[in-house]
Amino acid sequence: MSTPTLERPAAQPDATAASGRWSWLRTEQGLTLPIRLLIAAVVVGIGWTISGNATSSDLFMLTTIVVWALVATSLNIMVGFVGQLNLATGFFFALGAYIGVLGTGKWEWPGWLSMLAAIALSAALAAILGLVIFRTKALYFALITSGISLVAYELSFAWSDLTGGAAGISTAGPLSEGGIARPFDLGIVSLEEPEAYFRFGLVALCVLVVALTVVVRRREGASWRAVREDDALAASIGINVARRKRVAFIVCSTLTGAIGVFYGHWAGFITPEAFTFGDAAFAPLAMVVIGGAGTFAGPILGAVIVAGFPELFRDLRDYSHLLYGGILLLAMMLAPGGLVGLAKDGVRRLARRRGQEGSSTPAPEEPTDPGARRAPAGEDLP
Amino acid sequence: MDLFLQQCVNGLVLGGAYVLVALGLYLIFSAMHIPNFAHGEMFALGAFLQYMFVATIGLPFFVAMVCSVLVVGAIGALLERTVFRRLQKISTVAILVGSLALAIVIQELLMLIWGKDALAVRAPFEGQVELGPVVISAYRFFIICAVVVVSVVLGIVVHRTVYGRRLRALAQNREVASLTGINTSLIGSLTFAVGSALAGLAGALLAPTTAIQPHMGFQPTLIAFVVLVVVGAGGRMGAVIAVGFLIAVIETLAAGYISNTSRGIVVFAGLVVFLAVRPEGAVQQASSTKVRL
Repeated sequence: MSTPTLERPAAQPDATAASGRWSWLRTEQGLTLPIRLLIAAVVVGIGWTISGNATSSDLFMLTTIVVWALVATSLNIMVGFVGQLNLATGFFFALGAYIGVLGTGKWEWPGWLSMLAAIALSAALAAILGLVIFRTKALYFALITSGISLVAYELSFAWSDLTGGAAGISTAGPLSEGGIARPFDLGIVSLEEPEAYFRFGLVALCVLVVALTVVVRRREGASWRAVREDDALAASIGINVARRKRVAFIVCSTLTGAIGVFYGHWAGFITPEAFTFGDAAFAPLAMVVIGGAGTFAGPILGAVIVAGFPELFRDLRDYSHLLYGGILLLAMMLAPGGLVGLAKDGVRRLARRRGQEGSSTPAPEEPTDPGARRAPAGEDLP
Repeated sequence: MDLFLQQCVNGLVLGGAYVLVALGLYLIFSAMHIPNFAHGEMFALGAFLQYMFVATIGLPFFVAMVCSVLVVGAIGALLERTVFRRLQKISTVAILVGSLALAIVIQELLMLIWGKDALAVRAPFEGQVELGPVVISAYRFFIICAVVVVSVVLGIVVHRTVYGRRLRALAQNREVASLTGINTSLIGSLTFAVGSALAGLAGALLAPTTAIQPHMGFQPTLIAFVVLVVVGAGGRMGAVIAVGFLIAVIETLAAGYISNTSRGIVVFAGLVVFLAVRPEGAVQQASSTKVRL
């Protein structure tokens, strides 16, 4: 795979033999498509075997992580590649989940129809919102998108005729009639068992990540990254900044809506409490940032940490949330490039030391990963 | 009509909290450019400390209030030195995510110390005040008066003292301010202390009128940001006070006349529409006057 047309501005001056061995870690160079597909296949294979033997609580945790890894990976398009602090995830996730649950439980739709409806509605709403939200920048953009998520959360309480209010709603129809959660009928496959949901989610995650690695290396993705690095410069070389942002927002939001449908069916039962600002809007952003914005492994690692944490440390009970907040805060203070950024820094430092041992001339001084430092939203506060 | 007026006055009490929290955030954001999403936690902290000083230690109410405000102010300055100074060097995203994480940490600490159940503090005096058709408890009336007095004092501090002049210089241009010999680091910590103390004061003042629980800071944080956005970083302090009261009255009226669940929708939908129409806040800033306090 050749390097993409748009390199990050600070081209690594010491990308010589010393660091060549570790060059596969770099996003700019990356792996060839067949190798990426192979990795995806191996991951699916491992997941498939694990899910066969896992206990139901393990499976629950794994599926939770997969769902949030999907959401974080979609959000990474906006936050990591376009550099916009999008907090509207909560809105589209809730929208998809409610359409999915209501479609199956109330309107008797097959699962694929709910999925199509959620995708169409998410895309349409994202297109409309995209016309106005990009007038704002940086902090104001974060606030307007937070407002959108908060309205969705409040609406899910207030519109109780449709959403069941605080009592929630299930895929088995109105709660008063009882009944078992319905399977998720996707036409080709019908998901019913917990393993099936996990396997489907894992395959979807791998497909999404591989597709994203392809898009990011092509013209569209290169334009996204150009917008992230400097939108004025991007505009000057003929990139339609507003349209690129809007396209990325529609893609990100539509994916989030579709994942919401999957989540709704898997959970079988949703209440507004699943879509609080902290859980549905802020947590995905935290995953992207902790893992490493603008990388492919980052959001998945972030999802493992953020979504898996309360499950893994359930024994600590009262302290688990405190630890989560503390680790998040420390991560922001000590590793602003996320875990992947930290790993890259470490590898680069190692490579530089090797280079110094090999030759007497010191390696040129190199800025720490510029993409990670300047990360989204830029430095200009309103 | 009487009911309407009664609702408005109830809204003003809630507005008192919003105004103080928003003023604190406004100072911090204008001078330091830090969008502190843990600001509402200072409000919660103020209320919990007030509970501790009054109910556990047994200090008189107003002595307790002074203690709470001082402690919250000190914690604010400490957080500025330890957390925000570092986050500020990284990026806006780091401040945003980091301060939200800090909010989680503070909430959980409050929960560990005082538990999940809502606490209550007794008001220092009883009785009612009649203002024409409106009847309001004396303590609530006192809150409204106190907020107005504190706002006026803050206005005098910002516009008439040496500290205020340095603060405004910092808000205008940090580099130039430090070139003229102003200790920007000290003013920064002081401003964080003052801003946090204002939120803590709001918490201590409102403690007898609300349920004290660890998550009580979230709503005031959001409202303070709404106020900040509506007024704009280049706006005036008077506008912050007016908008803070206005939002609280609108919220209370929505709860009274539409339904209790609609209050959040009205405020947040309002925020989205407002930002869509005025993406840079109400005051369009000329580049030469970056921020005016």
